[in-house]
Amino acid sequence: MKKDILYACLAFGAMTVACGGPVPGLAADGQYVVGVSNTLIGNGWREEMVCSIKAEALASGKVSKIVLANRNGGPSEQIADLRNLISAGVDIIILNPSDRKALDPVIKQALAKHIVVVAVDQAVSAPGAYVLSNDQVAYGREGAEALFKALGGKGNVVEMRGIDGVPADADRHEGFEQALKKYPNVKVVASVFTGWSPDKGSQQIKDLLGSGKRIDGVWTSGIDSMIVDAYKSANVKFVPVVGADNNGFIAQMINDKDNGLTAIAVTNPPAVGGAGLGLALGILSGKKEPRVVHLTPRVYTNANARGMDWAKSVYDPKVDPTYPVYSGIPPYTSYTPAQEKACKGPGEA
Amino acid sequence: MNAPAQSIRPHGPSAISLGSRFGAMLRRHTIGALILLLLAFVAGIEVARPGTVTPIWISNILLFAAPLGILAAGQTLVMLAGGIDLSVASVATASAYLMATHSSQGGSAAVLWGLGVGLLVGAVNGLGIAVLRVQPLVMTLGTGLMTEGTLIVYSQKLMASAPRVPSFIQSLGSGKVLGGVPIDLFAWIPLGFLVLIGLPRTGLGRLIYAVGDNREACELAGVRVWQVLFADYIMCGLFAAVAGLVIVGGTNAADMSLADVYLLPSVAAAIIGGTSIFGGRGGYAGSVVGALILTVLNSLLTLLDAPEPIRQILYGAIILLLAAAYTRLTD
Repeated sequence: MKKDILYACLAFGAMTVACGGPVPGLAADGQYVVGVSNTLIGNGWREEMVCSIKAEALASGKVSKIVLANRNGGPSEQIADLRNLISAGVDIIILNPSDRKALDPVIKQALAKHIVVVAVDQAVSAPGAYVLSNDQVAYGREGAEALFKALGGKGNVVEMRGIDGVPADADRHEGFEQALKKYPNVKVVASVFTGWSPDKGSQQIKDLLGSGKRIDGVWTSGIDSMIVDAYKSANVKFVPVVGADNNGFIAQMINDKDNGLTAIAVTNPPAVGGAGLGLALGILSGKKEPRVVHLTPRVYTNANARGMDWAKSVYDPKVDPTYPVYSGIPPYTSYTPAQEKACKGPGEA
Repeated sequence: MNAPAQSIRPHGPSAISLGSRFGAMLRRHTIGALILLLLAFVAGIEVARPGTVTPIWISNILLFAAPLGILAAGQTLVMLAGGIDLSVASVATASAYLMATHSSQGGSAAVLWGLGVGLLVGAVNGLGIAVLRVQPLVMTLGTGLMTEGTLIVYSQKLMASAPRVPSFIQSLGSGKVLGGVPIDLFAWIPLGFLVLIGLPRTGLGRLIYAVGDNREACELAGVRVWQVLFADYIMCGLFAAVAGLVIVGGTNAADMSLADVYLLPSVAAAIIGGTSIFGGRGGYAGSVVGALILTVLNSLLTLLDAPEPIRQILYGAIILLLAAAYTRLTD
């Protein structure tokens, strides 16, 4: 490989940085080709994740083309997609892995071709691959602590989890339990799995509200605005609710404050996609980056001015209520929210 | 076509025990047996968690059962004709999403967009199954996937304009009037009566049973079978579209996987209610009770403090038991 590059340099002269540094994949025009592998479509969070990659590719000015492998599937589909990306001659692969271990062999093949591989949102075990994700244990812990604090350290809470057996759900629950240990007077009166389905979550909270159980606060794993809506339609006095940075919940955070709603939003930005690309571009330009980057979520509450200011700055009435609010993750991303919303990569009209 | 179960079985007042006489009575009035079962579940909840069964709880159960009941109406109609519709969940989701993304054009236009999806997919299903004679399972699985895929492309092209659920749809799906009567009952009850009365009393209704019982005989008798099936699948599509509007009114947010959780329950409600998957036998009354039983079961599992896998096993096992018990009771 090195020999090839050497010959190329001899032939064409030292016209690109590729000859100087260990950047074997750099195209002649100084632009990279980025491969993206995503195995869940039609999901708001994942759609934004892909858009953030496109936006960062455009904003960085260093990407000539994005090859998108985007379909519903599991590890076997993703392995096939990754193989195709490798054959397509990409320089960078950003993937949201469908399995921690199953993709290791194909990731090794990519690394052998000097492709920079970044797993975003979830981890892969392949050594040599970079991992950039939101810290889900902290997501559970920080939100729960804010809730327990808002309750004055005591009361009955409901824990509305995601899908049983999914790593992100297990991590968030672990964080929730950590927070619970610090607040011995907080009691979990119900713990249910919403399956991250708005309809299921909505029915569950209505069932719980009708059951006569005393509920002082609700922690959710992202099925959030439906909980507030259920309180409204049942005409029950609001209790503090923890949700994610979903547009519909942020709207309630702003609009229902005066109706007595304490809303706590924990960020879980899909911009990890764009941030993963930013990380990869940094590595290709010679920067040293840690193998694993855990982004700590931020917690905002409408009980203070800082939280309200944030909510007002990110809320967009034009965005789907179940979609997360648009945001970048500096210093890894450099795009504007407008670029992310446009969802156009380099060369896309 | 509930008739065979009554007429074939001899039930003289001879020396039979009280138990078997009770069994015979249940056989004659299967709907009564189902209602007893429903009441047994409700009693079970009250025993397990005293104080649960309140007017609020009952009104919630009716609120949740309505969309399932409406979906099950369509499913019952196609199952009676010997078919099945696996596209109902995608149609309901697409109806909700299209309605929500067109809400800026006014309420009635938005609703028409939603119902239009049901009409379109129903018509495609009908054409494929009735005219091209594609197996219903395959046909509707295919159209369901196509609907889902088209919807994703549509939503991706639409990143800039958000779907919004109009307030009257919100009231339809989550509101209550007169101190606890769910508003969605005002959609379910008229539609339900239409099916309940239409099936045994109209020509189309009776032909649906006949086609499900013996398609060849119907063709020999000069019935235009394709027209019956075509109408049947269009009705199912429309019911699914209405259900989608009710569901999105409950969540107040159109999501790409909104109605997925309803697909198998819509089939299960009909089967528990005694509609044969082979066609020709059953009726909507059973599906209504089936929908109520499934909803009560869901509520029970939410309120039960049990680990999720246990809940799933219980849910599956109870549906299996019910279906098995029903077959024993009627065959």
